[in-house]
Amino acid sequence: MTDEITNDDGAGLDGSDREVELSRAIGDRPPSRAVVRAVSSLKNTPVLELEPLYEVVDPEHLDAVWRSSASGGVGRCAVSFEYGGCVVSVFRDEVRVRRIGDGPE
Amino acid sequence: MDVDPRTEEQSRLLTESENLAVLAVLDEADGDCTVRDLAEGLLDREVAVVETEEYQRRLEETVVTLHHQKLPRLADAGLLEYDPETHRVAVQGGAVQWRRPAVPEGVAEYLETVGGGEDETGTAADGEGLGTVQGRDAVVQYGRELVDEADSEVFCIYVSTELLRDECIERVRRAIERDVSVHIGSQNQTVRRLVRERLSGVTVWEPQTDWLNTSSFPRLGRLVFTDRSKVMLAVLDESATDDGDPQETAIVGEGVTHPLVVLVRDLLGPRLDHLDYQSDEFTSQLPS
Repeated sequence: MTDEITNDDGAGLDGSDREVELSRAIGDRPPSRAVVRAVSSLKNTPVLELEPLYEVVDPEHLDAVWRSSASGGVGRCAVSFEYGGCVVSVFRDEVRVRRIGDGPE
Repeated sequence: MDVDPRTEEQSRLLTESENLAVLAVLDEADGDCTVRDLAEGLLDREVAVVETEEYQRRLEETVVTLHHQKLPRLADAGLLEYDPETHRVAVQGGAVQWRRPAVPEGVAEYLETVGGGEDETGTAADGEGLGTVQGRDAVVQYGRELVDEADSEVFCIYVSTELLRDECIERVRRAIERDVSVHIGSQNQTVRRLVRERLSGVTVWEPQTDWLNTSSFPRLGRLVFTDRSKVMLAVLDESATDDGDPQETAIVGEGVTHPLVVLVRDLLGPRLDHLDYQSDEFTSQLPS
């Protein structure tokens, strides 16, 4: 799996060695999958332990919106929502996730 | 006719073979299993043989998709129950309702009445009396008789246009004039178009591939199912020919409790109620 995980230097770390934000390239897979994996990475929680993404947004719809904007030349599309205690932003090429607040995982 | 939106969602989900596969695997597990079991069961259905590493990767992807997407969606529609914390999947309400939906009031009595006149002696009750009909002419004749005798309802499935001859159209027309409700299904678009063009008052539907599709011989050529109690299932053996036509053999059964009748009613089950949603216009409007 060839993911690029880039962390914001310095500004992203909250001092307790826990990452606050990370980005992940979408690549070939559907963005819904990238979202789930990104949140899982950031929170250091197995993918199956996260609540189903469906509870927040229907992955099929998310993927469809992303697909139609990627090919339709509409310009930038960004979808943002809260999931798993993170703010998730889906851009054309990458997914960005950031912890909300400073609370426990 | 008002349709419960939940039922509408159910029938939409049931048009997707992946969802049907999930329900089938769950059923094989006696209606209770974990996400992982389900994923393994789904992968087992795929014919391709893959190396362990690839298998593990696919398994993991399947598990993720089930947990985050497919299972919650099916659970929302009431087709199964899923607990995301324990990862247990269970059949909705403990009954396999997707195959045998709760029979609405009045229909159960109707089914009894319709089947009541049939000969339900030893042949039907003990599972024997599975008649066979050999040869194309005999099969065509039997099918015609079924349509002519139908009192209230005719279901047909045809594989190709050759099987749908002029005389069939005429007979169906006469049945419609007798106020018989007629439903003709075919995976072949030309068949569906022809039926629509030449017959009005017929519901046309597209059967899904999960139980009709077989690439090996013999394959289903035609199915005629009348009054929910009489059925003829004809198979084609294209490798053997009868004067140039593929050899046809049919199995037939009569009686509401006849195993073949029960089987066909089961297979058509959800579709008996939701045929309108299988029409071309509808499916072409669904987002891809």
